[in-house]
Amino acid sequence: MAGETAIEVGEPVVAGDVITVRKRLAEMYEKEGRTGPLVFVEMEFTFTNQRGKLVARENFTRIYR
Amino acid sequence: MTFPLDIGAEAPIQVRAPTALDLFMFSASSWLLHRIHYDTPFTTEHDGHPALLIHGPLQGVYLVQTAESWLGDGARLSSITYRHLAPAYLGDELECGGSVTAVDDDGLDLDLWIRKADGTITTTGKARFERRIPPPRLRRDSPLRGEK
Repeated sequence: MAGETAIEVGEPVVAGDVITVRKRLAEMYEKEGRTGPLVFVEMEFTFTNQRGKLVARENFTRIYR
Repeated sequence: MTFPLDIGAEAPIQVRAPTALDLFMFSASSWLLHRIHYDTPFTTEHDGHPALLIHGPLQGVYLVQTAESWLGDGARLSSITYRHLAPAYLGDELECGGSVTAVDDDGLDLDLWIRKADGTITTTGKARFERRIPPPRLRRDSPLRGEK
């Protein structure tokens, strides 16, 4: 299931840019849900261009049963 | 100069009713492989849902579209957060709307929401838009001019 998402938008992307994506597993934890255990996985994706400038950052939580 | 909108101003409501093909295409293009968005027997028989689910991130796109089509070229999305409160299913008509919560010299803040026909809120969000520098125009002698 999709949990909360937070997106930050930086420099515009233009033709010819080289975009690098860094994916980080920020956190992982378990909670007891109504139907059993739930695993929360928080990811952080960081997109930068060839000048090292932030293009976008996306933090989101996925919930697994 | 402040942004030409007042606190409380409301975005025109947009209705979205994605088809099974829309859901499949969004899964494919965003590499979301969970079968509850395109495999009906799995979704209903194995997972016990009434129908295919409309993706959370697709609803995030609807929030952005609702705001961007309202604010136009004069504003650029700076940040958005959203969370999902209830499932949305294939066949649901989703009403997407929002309103201004703060205005300053550089831009504005919006509250955004999506609700089903029965009034259930499926997704809420908060977005920040900043005044946009007008996009560059083509030079008078550009070979791309006049090719529309």
